Amino acid sequence: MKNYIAILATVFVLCNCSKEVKPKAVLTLFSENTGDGTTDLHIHGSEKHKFVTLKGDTFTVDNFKYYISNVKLSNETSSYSIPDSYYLFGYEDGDNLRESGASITGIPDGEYTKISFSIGVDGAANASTAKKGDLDPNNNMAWNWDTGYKFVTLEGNFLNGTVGGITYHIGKNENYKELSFDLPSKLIIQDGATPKITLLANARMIFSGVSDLRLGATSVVMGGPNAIIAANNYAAGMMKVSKVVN
Amino acid sequence: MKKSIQFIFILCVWSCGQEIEKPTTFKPKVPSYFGGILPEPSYNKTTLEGIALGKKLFFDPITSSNNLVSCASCHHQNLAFSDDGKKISNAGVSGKNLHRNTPPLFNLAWQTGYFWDGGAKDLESQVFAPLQHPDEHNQDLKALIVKLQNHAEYPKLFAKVFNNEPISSQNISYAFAQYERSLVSYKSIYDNFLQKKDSTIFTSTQKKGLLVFELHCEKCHKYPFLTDFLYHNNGIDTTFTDESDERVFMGRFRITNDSADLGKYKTPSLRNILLTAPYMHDGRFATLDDVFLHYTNQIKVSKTLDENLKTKITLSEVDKIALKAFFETLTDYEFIKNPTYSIEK
Repeated sequence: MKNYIAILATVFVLCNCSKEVKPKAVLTLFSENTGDGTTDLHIHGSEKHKFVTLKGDTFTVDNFKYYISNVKLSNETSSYSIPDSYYLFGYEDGDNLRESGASITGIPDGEYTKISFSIGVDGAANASTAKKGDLDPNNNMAWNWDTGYKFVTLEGNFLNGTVGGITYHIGKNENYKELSFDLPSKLIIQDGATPKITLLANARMIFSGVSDLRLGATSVVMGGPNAIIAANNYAAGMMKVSKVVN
Repeated sequence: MKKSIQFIFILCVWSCGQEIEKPTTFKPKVPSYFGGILPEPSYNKTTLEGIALGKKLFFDPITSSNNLVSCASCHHQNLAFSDDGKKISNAGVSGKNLHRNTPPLFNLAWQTGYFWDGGAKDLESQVFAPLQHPDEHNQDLKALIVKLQNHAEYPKLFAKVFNNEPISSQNISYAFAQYERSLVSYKSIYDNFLQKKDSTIFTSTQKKGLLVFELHCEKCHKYPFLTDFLYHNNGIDTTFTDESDERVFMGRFRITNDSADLGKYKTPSLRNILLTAPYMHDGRFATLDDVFLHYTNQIKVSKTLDENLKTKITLSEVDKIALKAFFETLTDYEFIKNPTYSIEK
């Protein structure tokens, strides 16, 4: 028996691959998907919720997806960039892509007061779509004939007297938008903590904010000048940070 | 004691996870005028097992939705991996004609953009287009992963190449790209000339053809790859206003949104040119005589026409014969017969 204990001890020394058991903080990054800043998209069944743009165009949503990337937390004295942070949020075919948010570990202990992130995928990551995880090209968010990611997609219908389809596929490096926010309250990272940051996405702000895009006239946007307008709009008003719970 | 050592070993394996056999690094030499080594991206280093896996996938119709179409359905090694003389291929799953001419596959490692408009920025990303296009492989990527996972051989092959990772879109594209990058053509008579700087290797007609080539063709079909890998409007059309099919008829404008790129397509290499008919991005010219006729008499002027084609090119009948004779020296017979690029049947 003594022998076996010695052997076991040797094994642990030799192998040296047991993991640390100290509990680390796990931050959840969650995004609520709304059509107008308050009403959840709830893309389920045939009865879709009707939303109205700031210019009065009525629309429904079938798919709404967007990349949030390069998340950075900071305070007065320091900052921490979350490595390889590419998160696909939104609804696809009625399914919430990240029902429980993204789990993020490895953040240094501290109190953070600001968050910055981008809508889209940075130029370096956008140069190849042979990627894993949320950047996997099988997420229907990659172009295969023009390498790169769709940063934001919104598909649905408009109902302004006539009915027609909406297809907004916005990508390309010029439409990558860096945003920065003060957190509504302090984020505290310490051992064992499980804080949560909730973002709020407002789909209709793709159509307004900087310049208006009217549904009917501009219902299909897949590049070109209107994509740039849509991107300026989504940079200005699509995302908010709604709350921090420690 | 022996037993104890065995026990320790088993425990170690159990506690540290399975030991993985590493694939074999492959760094082939290429001629100095090609840069000496085969370029590869830092994120997808070439290994012998990776090439072999990519080759197996390239020839395997499991990569299409109906399990009947492989890359090799359109890319034939005996034709420098171009198609068999068809203007436009219809060998895909739908049987519909494609819009563009099947390009040959060689010296891809040096290219900076793939497809006739350079839309794909690396070989790895390029792979997804033919795989997913409804008129080519029509293959959903998630479904392909399931097929490969359930296959008798693929799971083991992927595990070896990719460090025991699960089969993914990324790993599939990496394997394809490693094989495609390994297709290097540099053993033509012309290469012999480049290596030895000895023009006696050519017949007198071929020598004259080289001079005609240098005068009229080499500005775009640049030494040593015989392409500048850039995009030009070579005057085959006048207008580029057809926006259908995701602007596939508008040239590189489709990718850059820059009107200066309307009607521009990538310069194809003249290497193996006698094997890669028909010619042009849409395969509109069946023969080299059609191509010569175009460049001498049929240049269509538009805003984006290449500068080099604004001055009329004249080719005598003797020049044409000489050019064709020179083109014969560009065929790489070793490349098209190289058994390492093919699979046993």
